[in-house]
Parts: sequence; structure tokens; C-alpha cells
Amino acid sequence: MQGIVLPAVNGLAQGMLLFLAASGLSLVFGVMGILNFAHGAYFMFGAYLTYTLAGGQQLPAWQLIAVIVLAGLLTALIGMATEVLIFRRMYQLDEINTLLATYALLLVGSGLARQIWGVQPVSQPQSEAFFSTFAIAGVTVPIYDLVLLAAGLLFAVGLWWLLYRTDFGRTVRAVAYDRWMASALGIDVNRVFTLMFGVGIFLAGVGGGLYAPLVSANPDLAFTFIIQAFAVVIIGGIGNLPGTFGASVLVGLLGSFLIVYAPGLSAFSLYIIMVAVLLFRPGGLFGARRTLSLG
Amino acid sequence: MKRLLLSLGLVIALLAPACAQTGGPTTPGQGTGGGEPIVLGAIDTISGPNAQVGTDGVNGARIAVQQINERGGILGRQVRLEVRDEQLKPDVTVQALRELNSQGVRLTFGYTSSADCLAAIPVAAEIGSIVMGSHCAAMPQTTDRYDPHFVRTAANDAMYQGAQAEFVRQRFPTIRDWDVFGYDYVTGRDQWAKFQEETRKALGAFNPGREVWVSLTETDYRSFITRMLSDLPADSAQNRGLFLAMFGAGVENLAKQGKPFDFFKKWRVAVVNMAMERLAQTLRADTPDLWNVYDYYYAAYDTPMNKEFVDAYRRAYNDFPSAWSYQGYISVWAYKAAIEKAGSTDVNALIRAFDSGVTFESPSGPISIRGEDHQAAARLVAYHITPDASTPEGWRVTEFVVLQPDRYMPPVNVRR
Repeated sequence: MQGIVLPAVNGLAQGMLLFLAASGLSLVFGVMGILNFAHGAYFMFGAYLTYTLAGGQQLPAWQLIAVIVLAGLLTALIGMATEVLIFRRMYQLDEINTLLATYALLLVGSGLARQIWGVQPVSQPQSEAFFSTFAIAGVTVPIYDLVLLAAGLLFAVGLWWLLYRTDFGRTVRAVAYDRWMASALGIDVNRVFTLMFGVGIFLAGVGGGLYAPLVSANPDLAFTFIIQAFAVVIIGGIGNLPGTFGASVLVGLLGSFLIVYAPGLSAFSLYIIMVAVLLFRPGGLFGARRTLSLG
Repeated sequence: MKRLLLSLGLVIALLAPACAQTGGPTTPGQGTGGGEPIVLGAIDTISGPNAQVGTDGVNGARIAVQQINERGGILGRQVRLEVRDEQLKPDVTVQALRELNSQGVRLTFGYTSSADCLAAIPVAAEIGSIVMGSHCAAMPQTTDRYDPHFVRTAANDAMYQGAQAEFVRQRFPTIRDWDVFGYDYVTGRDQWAKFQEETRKALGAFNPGREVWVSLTETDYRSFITRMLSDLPADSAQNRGLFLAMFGAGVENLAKQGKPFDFFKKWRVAVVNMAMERLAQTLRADTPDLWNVYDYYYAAYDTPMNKEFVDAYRRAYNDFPSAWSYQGYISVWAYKAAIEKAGSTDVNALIRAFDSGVTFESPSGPISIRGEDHQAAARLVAYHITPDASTPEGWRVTEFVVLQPDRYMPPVNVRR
């Protein structure tokens, strides 16, 4: 039982982190048509800001969660500022040039982190309450994995609610479908872009914050997750949020079980899937959408 | 869309986690001694995830340069450093070596990894430079890939694992069952093989157990931890040992993600080779209970030179020197001894000096570089680091054991 429960819980928890990192990417592409490689830098800033806001101290669980949300909000503000100052100038570029420009921004973000926080990694201690474990079918599982699962599901449902059950969501979908027509109808497209970009970056910032107690944060964190996140987005279908969620869970579970049962394959299995999807189903397993899709 | 997706896939496949930054030249200790200053090239990794290695190494070297200059320099000439960031990329290392050579800087040191050293050595032989390995530890540089243009002031892998085995023989002689958690690359696997060989020699028996290997770029270890702990014997905390064939961020992530499982408490002893004290500064209360065998621990030596080094380092950087700082520091002192023996900075004269053996003072006592393979008989120290919430740092070193090189120095095995 241990050989199934532990990899399953680990894989699902990892999948939720991937979803938080990848959903913003998918969202930004779905609405704005930007392939944003700089997204990894926001994930990294989420981790660093969590460390800074917590003062690098061990906090009670509720305080740590509050700090992570605050770090996500601050990261979103940074994201919105960069959208207004930088990204807005990229909307006229073609997708390949945008990709290269945002990659340059990723490098800038990583370099900035090095200047601000130095070369030595920083470590946010885990809350004592999250060190505890619980039992599933007699198997001991870290409680923090449950926290990650809950957070992933919460944000997935929250995103669905925001986009499908609010006026703002209706506006966003209208802009995603036809920005020119939406503009002609009096919708402030730039404002919608900035706010949606902020939502995507908020998710990345929260993802980085949730990851901070598990790893030491260093400027290379910006690169670590972006590659996995892009792979997930490709596998799920670019711009397809349910696809991103499904692919995140799939990739998390697959990686986790391979580590236990076929460790030789685990390091590159993600990329094999990605290449296979690109070759045989380039729209992704769940279908790509140039405009925002909720399935 | 298809073209875009294919392009995106290509970019992802080609991406390397790198942040290209180059350290600018430094000019510490430019003095007024007789003649032109002697310029030493520090080629080290000062950006990227292993930037701490090179940053500490260069900082240590700066202290050595400052002290040497204050005492009149080398052969009456002041010493100056030129720093280049090799970014832990062998091609960048070679580029830096050539660039420094073109400026007349032929005496270099640093070199974070063995890949960097191995790439630099043939180029140094071709262009007439010296590569002094301050950190790189793989065996080929001083055995089958030996070249007289290479000198190593750090220990090599055989010495590290020989010292680990010697430490196990002294402190944990009843532990014969060992598991490994390591980086899945040549050095990680070599370290484990060498540790097995040396410990078997020292104890007369060695039973390899679980092996878990993770990619160098992996950051999420939870499933690997699960795999390592599955079916571990219930009495492992009494009679099994854990060998960590990894360093840096890997050990940090293992400590943090393993804590809910009490990972490090599942073994009687866990051992590693790295500058663990720097890691503990990051991890604080999350610091795992580990025995670390490495080149230096700043409190392990009671020599006047060590006191002077530690004091100067604290003044300059408001921190204690790490093993990497020490490695940079002693490389500069090794050059001083060699230049004074040769009476010149000429590369061929220096090689002749190294060929006949060079001994220099260091914070850990005198160190001799062997003439036959240019390998320093580096003194190693085992120290026990443990979490301790009662200290401001969250950790402390409870004891250390200085290991003498005659117990683990491998015989000369140069294949010319």
C-alpha cells in the first residue's frame, strides 16, 4: 500500500505546484497571446518574497499561509507593473520574438534576485504544524502535501469561478475571444490585460511561496520550474486551463511513480511526453486554444 | 500554431539554467613593490547555483593577497588578482584561461568542478599557463590525464573517500551496511564506488544497500525520499550508515523535504563531503545531523596563521571563512612558495619547482605538493554538525577530528 499511496500523494502535490506555475502561463497566453518565459522569474520572486516577509523565521501555520498570499499579491503587483511598462510593448511582436524577449526578462529577473538576495541560497523554515504527518491506509504522509493539494484545488476552483461566474470573467472571455470587438464595445482592453496578467502572476507567486519551505531559494529557481511549467502547458494544450490542470496532475503522478518504480526513466520522462505530444498531437492532449478556454 | 509550438518546444529543449554574468577584474593590493605586480588569475564560479563556491574562493584569495602584500609581496613584487567568472561551464573556463593568457596572466587557480579543470589542462599546456585546482577533485587530473601544467592544492576524490573511510574506521567501525543518496553523474557515482572500496579496505567488510540517484537539476526530492525509506529495516538507526554523494542545493532540499519523515534520524550516521557550514547558515534550524569530511573547518586549527586568516576574513566579510574560502586562500600561498622556490614567475621554472615538490604554510599547518603528480597532501577534517535551536544560528558543530594525509594519501599513479 505504501508503494502506491506515497507516490500518489507526492505526485498529486507536485501536480498542484505545477498547476499553480503553469496556469498563469496558460491564462496569459489564452487572453493576451503572450508566451511568457519570464513567468519563472515571478515564481522565484514568490519564493524569495515569502522568505523576506517571514524574515526567514519559522512561523505558525496560519501566519505562513498569510505571508505566502501576501507574497503572491506583491508578486502580482510587480507583474502588473511590468505588464504596463514592458509587456504592453510586446503585443505587436510576433510570437517567436515575444518568446525571446520574455526569455531575456527571465534572465533579468534571475540577475535581479542575485543582486537583491545575494549568491547564497536562502531558506524559509517550514511551520512546525506542517512538519506533522497523517496516515492514509496505514501509510504516513506529510501534512504539507495535503496543504499543497488543497491549495491547488482551491485556486483551480477559484480561477474557474472568477472566469465563469463573475462579470469580470465574462469581460475577460470577451477580450480573449476578440479584443478589437471588445474594445469597440467600450471595454478597456488594456485594463483587462493588466488585471489578468496580475491574476496569472499571483498564481505563480503563490506557487513559489508554497514551494519556499521545501527548497532553498536561489536565482536558478526561475529556470527550474519554467521548463516544467511550459512542458505541462504544451502537454495540456496552450491556453486550455482544464488541460493545464489535467496535464499537471498527469505529469506529477507519472514522475512520482516513475521515481519509485522506474527511476532510470524519471529524469526525462516529462520531455519524452512533451516531444511525443508535439509530434503527434501538437495541440496538446486536451487541445490548444488561441483564446481562453475553460474546456 | 503548429510552428509556434514546435519553436517553443525547441527553445525549452535548448534552455540551460544560466544567468550570464561576468565578474569584473579586481585590483586589491596594487602596491609599490619592486617591479611589475605579479598577477594571479582567479577563474572560479561566481554566478549560478554554485556561485558560493567561487565567491568564497575569491574572497579567501583576496585575504591571502592582502596579507602577502602587507609583508612585502613575492620576490619584492606586489600581487594582484584578476577574477573571471567561469559560470561552471568548461567552455567559459577555457575562454577565460585564454583571455587571461593573452593579457600575460599565466598563473591561474580556482576551477570549481573537475570538468572545468579537465577542459583547462590541455589548453594550459598548449598556451603555457598553469592551472591550479583549488576545488576540483576528480582523479584523472593527477593520474591518467596528468600534465605538469596542472597543480592541485585541494584534496582529490581518493583522499576524500579515503578520509571518510578512515573516519568511519575511527568512529563507527561496527557499521558495515551503507546506503547512498546521490547526484546521478560521474562524480557522484565515483564517490560512492571509492567510498565502498576504501571503507571495505579499512573495515574488512562493506555491504552496499539502497541506492537512490537524482538528477543534478532535480529540486523535488519527495518521491526519492519515499523510495529511499520504503522497506528500510526497522533497526537502521542503530546499525546503518548513509553516504551522501551530493552537495549544495541537493543536500539543502533533502534536509528540508526529508524533515517530516525524520529522514536523517533513520541512520546511525550520515556522511558527506562539502562545505557544510555554509549550508547550515542557509538552513539554520533545518540543518540535518551530519558528519562532514572536507578540507577545512575554521575552528579546527589552533595555528597562528589560521587565527590571522579567520580574523582577517571576519573583518573583511563579517563572516567566518568556509572550506571554499580556505581553498582559494591556500592556492595563493602555494603560488608564493613555488615562485620563491623558482625565483621567477616563468611557467617552465615554476613547473620545475613543482616537479621537485613545494611545501607551503597554511592555516592547517604545512602542506606539501608532491613532485611526481603535483597533488597536495591536503589535511582534511571531519566535523559533526547538528541542529540546535538554543543557538542564534540554529545549528552548531559539536566536535571535529583532524585527519592526517598519511592515512589516506593515495600512491602516485601518473600514467604519462
